[in-house]
Amino acid sequence: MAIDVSQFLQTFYEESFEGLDIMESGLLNLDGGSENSESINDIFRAAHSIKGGSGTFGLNAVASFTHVLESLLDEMRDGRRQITKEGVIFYSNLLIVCVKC
Amino acid sequence: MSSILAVDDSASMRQMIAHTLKGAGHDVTEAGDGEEALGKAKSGKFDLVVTDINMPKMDGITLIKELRALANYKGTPILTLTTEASADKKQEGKAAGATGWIVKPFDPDTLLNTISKVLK
Repeated sequence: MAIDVSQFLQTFYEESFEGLDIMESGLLNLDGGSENSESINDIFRAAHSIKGGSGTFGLNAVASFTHVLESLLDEMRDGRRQITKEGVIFYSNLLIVCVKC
Repeated sequence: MSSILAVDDSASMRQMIAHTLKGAGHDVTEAGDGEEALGKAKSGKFDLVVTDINMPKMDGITLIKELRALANYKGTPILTLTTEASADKKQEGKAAGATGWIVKPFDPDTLLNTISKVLK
């Protein structure tokens, strides 16, 4: 069954912008070192959702990028990667670049 | 034609799943999270459930467990449609009562073929 996925893209873009807002708020709530699990989970879920949609709708560059992001967040979530102030600034800047693209 | 409950917190993904299933002649009811899905499942009877795993309010694994605890859904096929591809998560889904596991990004034909198999 061939499906024209372009009909779903507008909804996907709207969801993705909402997801980026959630990610931005989550990043701003990270303070480097203390308990951040809720914020990390919020960011992770938003990235995860964008990854699933972008892959299904053929936006492969977005899918690859969010896959990497999701892996990094997973490492933060289970403590393999430390959350630092520098890291938060880096990810915030990365997010700003993504939104501008 | 079968009656299918499609559960995903992404509206665009729900649109695509519903479009795929309706195109194959199925009757589709949509839910945006596990809680909403459980409410709809209790107030009706679906032939099959297709659910995402990572969702707010109630995740897919919890939804599957809750459905399996209901007499009406003990033997109903429940497929997951998720970006979760780890063996641990699949095992967790199987233990909860999932019938099959489809990984996103998904191909509409894979979804339809899997549905045909589990509904036989």
